[in-house]
Amino acid sequence: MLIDFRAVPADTRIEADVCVIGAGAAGITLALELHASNLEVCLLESGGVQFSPETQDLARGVSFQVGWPYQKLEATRIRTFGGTTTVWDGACVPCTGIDFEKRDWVPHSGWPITRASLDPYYTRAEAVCELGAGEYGAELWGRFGQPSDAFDRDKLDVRFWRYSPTRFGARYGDEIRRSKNIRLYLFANVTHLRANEAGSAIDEIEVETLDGNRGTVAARAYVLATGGIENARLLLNASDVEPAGLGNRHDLVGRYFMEHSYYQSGFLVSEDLERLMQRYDHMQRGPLHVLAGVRLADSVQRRERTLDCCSLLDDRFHRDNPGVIATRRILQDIRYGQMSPELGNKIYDILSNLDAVLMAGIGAAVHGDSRHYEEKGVPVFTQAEQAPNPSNRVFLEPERDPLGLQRVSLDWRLGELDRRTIEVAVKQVGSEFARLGLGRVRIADWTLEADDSGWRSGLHWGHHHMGTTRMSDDPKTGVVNADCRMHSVHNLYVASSSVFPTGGYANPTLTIVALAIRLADHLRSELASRAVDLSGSDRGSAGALRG
Amino acid sequence: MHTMPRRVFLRGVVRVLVCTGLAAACGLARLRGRGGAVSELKGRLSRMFSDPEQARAVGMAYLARNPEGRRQASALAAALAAADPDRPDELCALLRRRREGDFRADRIVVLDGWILSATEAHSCALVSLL
Repeated sequence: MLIDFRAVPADTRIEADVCVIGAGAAGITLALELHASNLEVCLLESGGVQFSPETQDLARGVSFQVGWPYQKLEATRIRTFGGTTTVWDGACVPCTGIDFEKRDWVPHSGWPITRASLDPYYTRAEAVCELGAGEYGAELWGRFGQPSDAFDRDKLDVRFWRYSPTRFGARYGDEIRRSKNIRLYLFANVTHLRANEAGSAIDEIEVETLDGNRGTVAARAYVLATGGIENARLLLNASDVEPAGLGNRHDLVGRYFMEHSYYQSGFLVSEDLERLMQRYDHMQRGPLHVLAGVRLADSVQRRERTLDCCSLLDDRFHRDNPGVIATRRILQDIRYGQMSPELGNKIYDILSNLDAVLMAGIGAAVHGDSRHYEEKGVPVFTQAEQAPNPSNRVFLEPERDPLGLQRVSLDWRLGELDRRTIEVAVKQVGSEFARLGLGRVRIADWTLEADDSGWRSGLHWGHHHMGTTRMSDDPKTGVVNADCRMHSVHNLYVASSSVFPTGGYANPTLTIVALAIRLADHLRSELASRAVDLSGSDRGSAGALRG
Repeated sequence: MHTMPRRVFLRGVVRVLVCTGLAAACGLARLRGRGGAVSELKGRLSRMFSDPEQARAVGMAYLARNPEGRRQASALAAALAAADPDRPDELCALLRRRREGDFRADRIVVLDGWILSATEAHSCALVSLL
């Protein structure tokens, strides 16, 4: 059932078994996993079905340049039904086993759960993301009739990204509309997490629309699913009971923010680039869409004491100028029936680069492909895990948004281990590609420079926000436990990459979805087995609106 | 810092380096035991390389940045000279093995950002010294 919260009578009190805050990949997955149960689910979404600049502005940060320059915060997440999957490119790959380990050379590393324990949830997540069978290794080349490159397994590990076609809002919207026990409220912004006097449970949450309609939600369990920045922001803003923010007794909420750095680490030249790129560019056949990468093998990570990372041959930054990128984005949005964010800027980019747009269009029309490779060469990019660092953090600023919540800033930077990881990776890639006669690599200039200027200016990132409510068995080192439940707030859970203690190199969505499924299983079990609800008062399975 | 253009590297290393090394090996092998053979080897190598000047440029760049380069090039020459002069295929295989072994064992040289096996770098240095 879909409800516009603006039309709900003022001061309505909604009751549910589970209240999920945020209808992106995590929130939608969690709600749908609970659909088959008898639990009443209240799913709150800040935006509507269509993109709205006014709602998006609620995500605006005050400063995104406290540490290293970063993207404007409001440009890194989409506040609409479906969340950022409305614009994502769909890249999915599971984290690897080493990502979950406590590595003595990576401070603050180690999950309280293993990769193996997540395996069944990854399988279910692949179905949710419509990825097909879970192959990610060199065997995928065979599916496209391509030979496998025989890399030394102690150096490089072939690892594919698989691309999900799933826009969660568009794909699962009808299912949610038809559901009798999921109520999706649009334009419902959570303005306060109201805790009991001890700060040990949520009593209710306050909801408000941008046009001033207010209400509350009371549930047996609450789940924050608003992403790595907004989850922390909501907790830090809930400071009436605990001045430092709800669940923040150990000053961990908002800290350990992590991203995936994405650097041009080198440039590969090859005498037969076209043939090489047949297996290192995007490959698509029917619903199967993949991209090959070469990951730094576990043995190298252990020996060289690096982070996890994966390199790929990526000529996007060569073949695409801003006009071509803008055109592609608009076409993609049209295909999914959505209003394109920042449409004016995109049109400006197109008009400013009309020649390139036309050439790409002609290329696509004549050759079926707008791509072309620079003569004999293609950039090598490396997507890397970031070392967790408590100084990298989201923090509250005095400025408030129109609903009265304090806005946030991000203080974020990379460190020496992050840099060294990429240097080690590109040398391994260069060695192995040369050994196999695939091409020769010139490593990027910034790796040869003593100062940080090139290292800082060459940074791209994945728009992946991780770590601000990290998972740990110990309340002193983590905000949530292995069940994704807040250590100090026993009916409040988190479904997001914000629980990642470390991020691996893998794009996080598949793991987010896997963890959301796992959390749904936990909630089903927990709520079914408890006669008394998690917040301490027995409401049973309720779904009534009380105006 | 002056950097080596891609064209120089490509023509000096990618296209000819293996040939260079193999040719040097063959040439050295044939000349083993013959005094005063340097000039003859130099001429022979020049004829064998598709672009010996580029290979020489790579070698000179390597030597300029690596004081140990001369000794390493000499060591390579000695290793090659120890091979059977009547079995050029064996010499070629030896160089290939050394090159592959370098990459497997991370014996690499970064020269103006380009990644070479140690054997490749030393081969170019050898060419430039002849």
